[in-house]
Amino acid sequence: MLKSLRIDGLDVTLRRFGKEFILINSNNADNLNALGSAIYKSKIDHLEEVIVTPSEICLKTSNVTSDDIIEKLEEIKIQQSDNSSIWKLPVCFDIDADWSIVEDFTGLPKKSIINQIIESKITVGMFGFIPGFIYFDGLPESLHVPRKKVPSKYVEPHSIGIGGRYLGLYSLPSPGGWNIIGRTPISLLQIPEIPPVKIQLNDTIQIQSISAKKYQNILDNPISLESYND
Amino acid sequence: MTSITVIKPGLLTSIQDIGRRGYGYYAIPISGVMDSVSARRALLLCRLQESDPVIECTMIPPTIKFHGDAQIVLSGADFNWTINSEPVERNKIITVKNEDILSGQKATNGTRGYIAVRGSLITEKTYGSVSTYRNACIGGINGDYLKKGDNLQWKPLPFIDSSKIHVPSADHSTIEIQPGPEFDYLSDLAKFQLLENTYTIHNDSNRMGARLIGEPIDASTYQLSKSKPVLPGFIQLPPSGIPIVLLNDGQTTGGYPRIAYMNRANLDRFNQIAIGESFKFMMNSQ
Repeated sequence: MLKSLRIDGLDVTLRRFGKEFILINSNNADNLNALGSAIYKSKIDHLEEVIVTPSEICLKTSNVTSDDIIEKLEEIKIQQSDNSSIWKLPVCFDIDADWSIVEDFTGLPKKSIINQIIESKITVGMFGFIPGFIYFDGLPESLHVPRKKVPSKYVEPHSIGIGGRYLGLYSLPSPGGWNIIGRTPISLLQIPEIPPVKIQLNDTIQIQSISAKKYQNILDNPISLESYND
Repeated sequence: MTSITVIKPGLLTSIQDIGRRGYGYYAIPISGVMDSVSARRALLLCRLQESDPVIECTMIPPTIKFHGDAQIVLSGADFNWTINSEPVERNKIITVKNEDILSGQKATNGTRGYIAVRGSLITEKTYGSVSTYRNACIGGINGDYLKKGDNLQWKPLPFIDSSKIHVPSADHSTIEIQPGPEFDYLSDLAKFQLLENTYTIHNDSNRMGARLIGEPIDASTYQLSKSKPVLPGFIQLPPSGIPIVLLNDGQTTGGYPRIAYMNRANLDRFNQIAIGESFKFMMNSQ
């Protein structure tokens, strides 16, 4: 079932799957993050889950009728982008990990790659696939390195790697196919705080290169992202 | 006070409830009981709330010693449960006494079962739920499945008269699915094969997802250009051509085509299919 809707001036289409799932897409926006965040924050009754990706939002509703939900969606106001924050994020690139893969694929030396990353406008693109995994958007095309065909069985927490167009951060250990090039001593996932992750979709990240020694210092004296940015 | 000590942990025994709602936005999965119908039955027979905790047992059951008297209900798969070596029935109030030992064997007629204790479990909630999600160390006992030597406590409730429900043997040889957002990535032949294939649950299955064994099917592409949202019950098709079913602890975004999904009622039934057991999909295009 397909339905067109206008939410705060944005034209979207809704597709309903059974009684439980609604997918929202738009031809007029290449990034649905602002809409997705607004829907999540609205806490509409009977809306159980809101999963946001830049190209699609998935809503899971309870079994109660979801027609009300459509009316409530139409009333949503999307926050403007000048409300987003800028966060400094310390990253230590002084590790071996997958640097040879990344240098080989891009044809660029490590130093140049690090400079390009630091000078890029990096934004928070997406949350998922597991808690505390953050997809950072904004890498120049020259640094897009595809994920490994055979994923590693174990990626350490705090690892940062390149997966296609995204820079990804693993807050928790996991198997993974991203090409690991650095690590951050800051824990972005703070369970059981609400919210579990303080950065928001579309926030800007300024990556700062730090030494292995500084990485260990901060790791040994843990501070939150907010404290680091004070 | 009623408490239990875990003598043998079983294969995958964990504290679960109806799940952690509303944090999928942060990629924190719903988790919770894999067969909500059986879990609910155990709780209602104990006159407890649907949202109360249960102990979920998988394939190989735990051996548990009770301290203090209590009433419990066992539901779900048939673990050949015994108390002090005497057989006990599922779906019925059972009064256990101090020092009683609950034990069982490998499950038949399903793969997951539930123990509900008539009382309130003394434990902490994380984001509104006691459900165990091991990957992020939340819920359960210190964020983990039950281990040998673990101790759980309940504030018991007054005893009630015995009640029981007759539950016919479950048949989960066919699972109803509906077309997913990328159903049309499948060739006509593949759509046909998806419903003709007999699939078997692969050893590598767990609370995050079920991997299957079966004949590969064709799709026009096995990799979405962008990651899309996924939830428990979604069925993805990776390059192997063999579907993956996402389950309660599963990831919240994914790059494989979402060819189909199962609603909660069918997910509950699907979650009772044991490793090595076979089934077929049936399309409900409603």
